[in-house]
Amino acid sequence: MRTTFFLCFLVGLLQGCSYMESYNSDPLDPRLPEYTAFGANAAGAYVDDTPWRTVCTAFGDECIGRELSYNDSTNKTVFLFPSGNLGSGNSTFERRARIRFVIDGNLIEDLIQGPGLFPVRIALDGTESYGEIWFWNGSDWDICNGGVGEFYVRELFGDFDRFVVAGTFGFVIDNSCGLHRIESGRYDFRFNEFF
Amino acid sequence: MSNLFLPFRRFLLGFVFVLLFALSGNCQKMELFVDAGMSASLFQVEHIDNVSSGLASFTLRGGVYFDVFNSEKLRLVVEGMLFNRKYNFEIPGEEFKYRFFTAQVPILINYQATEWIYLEAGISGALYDARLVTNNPDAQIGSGFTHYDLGVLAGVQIALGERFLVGTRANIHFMPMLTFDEIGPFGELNRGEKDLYYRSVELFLRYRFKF
Repeated sequence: MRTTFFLCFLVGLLQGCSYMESYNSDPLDPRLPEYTAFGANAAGAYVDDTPWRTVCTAFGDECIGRELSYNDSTNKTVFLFPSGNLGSGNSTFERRARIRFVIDGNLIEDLIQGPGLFPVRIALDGTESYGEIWFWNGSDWDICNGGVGEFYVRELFGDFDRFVVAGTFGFVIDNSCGLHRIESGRYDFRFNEFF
Repeated sequence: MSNLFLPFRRFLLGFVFVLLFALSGNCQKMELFVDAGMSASLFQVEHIDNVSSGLASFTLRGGVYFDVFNSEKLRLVVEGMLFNRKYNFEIPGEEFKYRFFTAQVPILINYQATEWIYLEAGISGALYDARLVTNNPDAQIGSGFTHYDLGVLAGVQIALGERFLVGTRANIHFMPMLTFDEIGPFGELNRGEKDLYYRSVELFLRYRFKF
């Protein structure tokens, strides 16, 4: 009987884990997650016309690999999405990328304590605020920064202890790193704390 | 588990509606039928690339037929049918098949043109359930698919003896099957965009179970 209970528990745990890695697909392109605003812990975009998707490997509410922090000394908010596949769902590890935003000011504090009017549009000018694309080269990340475009926060609810932030984005990098277009981006992450 | 029975529940509701309609109208005859045929499903698509459309597929469907009103040449007919609408989203290396389990109720005026030839035209209501079949184990069907449709249809049927009919029909449905928020290149959002309108042309052989 104990063995049966243990096996049921194990199966339930495995099913729970796999469920947390699934995503609701975009009806226009099912390779990308659809835009949601409930804390799906997923993001997606076209990177140079190739679909990029990240869905957190999550245990409970905790999403591994995404970061959102504020640096007092630089007065910048940094939002880093988890690593995700470029291309089809069968991409190898070498075809991975991350997207990061550096935004001027304390974004989350301003939004949580602000009037709560959404969407909030943040212009990425390429210097004070900008987007980055990271490409995995097999041993380290090649980082291209200075992305110019838009970053939208369309939903933010909760407080500093527990909140959901969701929105859309798109930017273009055209510098010594080459020309990279990150388009039709969407994100929806749940956080249990803000540093 | 309840989602599994949702389309059946909807069909039963539609079926009860048809039954009440037929009984209230002094239904003169009821038949069960099975159709086997080729159907070309045409999805009018504006926003979605890589959607296969116009593919002919074999369709097997069953239903019930009520002869509500019957004069010498004209009849009012109500049918109830179950079948699948389907289209594929084609990307090399990945397979996304959208399947819409559909319960359709056409209400038709049937005109007997000659001894064996019947012309028909009418309106059609449909309820359906959207499912995604894919080799991507992580992808779940997203939101935005609606679950009902309205349209018109017209066709010709030729009687082949007492129990067989061969027929052809064209269906045009008007309701968008998908409502979605379109995300532009720089994250701008166009809310409530509509797409996927269903058309079909079919050729079928019908077998009638007479009571």
